[in-house]
Amino acid sequence: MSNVHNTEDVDKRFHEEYTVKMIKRGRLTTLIAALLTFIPALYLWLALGYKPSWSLIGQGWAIIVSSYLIIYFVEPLGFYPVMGLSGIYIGYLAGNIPSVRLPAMISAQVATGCEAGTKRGELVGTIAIGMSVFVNLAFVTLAAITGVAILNVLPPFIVSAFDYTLPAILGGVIAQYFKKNKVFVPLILAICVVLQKAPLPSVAKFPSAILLSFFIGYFLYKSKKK
Amino acid sequence: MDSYLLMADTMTNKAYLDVANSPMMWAVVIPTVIMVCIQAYIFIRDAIKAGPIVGLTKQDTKEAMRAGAICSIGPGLSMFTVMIALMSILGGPFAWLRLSIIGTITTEMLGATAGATAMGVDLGGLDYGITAFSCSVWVITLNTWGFFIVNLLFAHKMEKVKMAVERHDAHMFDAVGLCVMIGCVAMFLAGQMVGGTGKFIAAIAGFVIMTILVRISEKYPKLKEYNLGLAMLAAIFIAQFVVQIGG
Repeated sequence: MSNVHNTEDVDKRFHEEYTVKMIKRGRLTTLIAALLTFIPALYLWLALGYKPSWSLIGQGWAIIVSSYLIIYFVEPLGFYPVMGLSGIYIGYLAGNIPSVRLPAMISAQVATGCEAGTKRGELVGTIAIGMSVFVNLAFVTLAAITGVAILNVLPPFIVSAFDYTLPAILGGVIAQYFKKNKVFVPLILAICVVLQKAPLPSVAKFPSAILLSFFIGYFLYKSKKK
Repeated sequence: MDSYLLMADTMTNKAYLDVANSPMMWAVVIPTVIMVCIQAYIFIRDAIKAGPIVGLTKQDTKEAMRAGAICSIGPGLSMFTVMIALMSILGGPFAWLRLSIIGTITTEMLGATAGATAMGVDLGGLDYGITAFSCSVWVITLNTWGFFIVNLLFAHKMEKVKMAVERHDAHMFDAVGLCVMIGCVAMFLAGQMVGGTGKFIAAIAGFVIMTILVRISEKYPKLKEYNLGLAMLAAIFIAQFVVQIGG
């Protein structure tokens, strides 16, 4: 049993024997996995010959990146204090942070009496998050297998209902946001409906919506602070 | 030239799902998931090894593993509904991949829709063919690369970034970031709402049912993780019912 009580020594050992290696391994595994995510797109293109023009891919990407760009930076920053660095590496590859990883981490910290934000908390949290990857994957796989079987036996009336998935999910997601943003949500939704119907070129519509969200959000935040 | 491509899209009318659900598709999505597992294994192993440095016992380790595993059962079950929905649109293999890695159902649906919108078609609609599917695949992949890049470039400097942000108004970043996300969802939602009766009903139903479920789950917190999946299921069937029966 380690009898190093000197905190400086512990910090140094932790950093050298754990953190440095963890960062290297986290970055390497993330990079490899990230590259592997291209395989489906490359398979469709190089093996089967299906690919839209780069310009169309770029347009689709521009639509989504205009809003997600700020989130790529803000979200990890928000989770970092609770997750610790190890949690961020696993969380930003395996995903499902607020729904699976965070609860797993907190549950482990509570069970072992380790405080969040400490080295002990980081380690037990990491162990728990790692386990959650396997367990959650098992369920997602089960869902995939049963899902394929279910979709095959369902009558067309039900299967074609899934065509309405997108508006249904977005309606639900907006409802969640509405709870805490009773002014912004109806306002921006009204603006977006107008934008969608407006005789603007479609490349201008999404960026306009995002810019307006940005400025209205900034304005509302500043006026609340007063 | 782009409109020629739109007219020439093959495997429309759900035929693209034959490719999306093919065995080869399973084969090309498995490597990434294997890598996710390898990473999880390495991190568990290294964390256990480092435990003694900060005084963790074998008991602590066991409890951490137990807590992690048990905690994942509930969320895992709640994945069923969203998995089936995503699979009906993007096929089993790709949906399995995307819900196993970074990117929630909302992120993937928005990415897929962005790809479809660029091609001028509806996600999963009658004109949505194999090229549009490929476009959705590319856009989804590129979208989550944003998270990967930020992770690879900045994660190890996160402590310094955090301190730099705290010198300014950290809450402002969160608030404005949230508004941008809401705006993104609202823009896609608006597009759906003006896209026909069925979609309009699905959107409204999703909103109303979700609001009700959120209220109920305030009393029964364990139900929270099922809210979105259930609201979605109820809403799509209400929409389908009204459209088919209402005529």
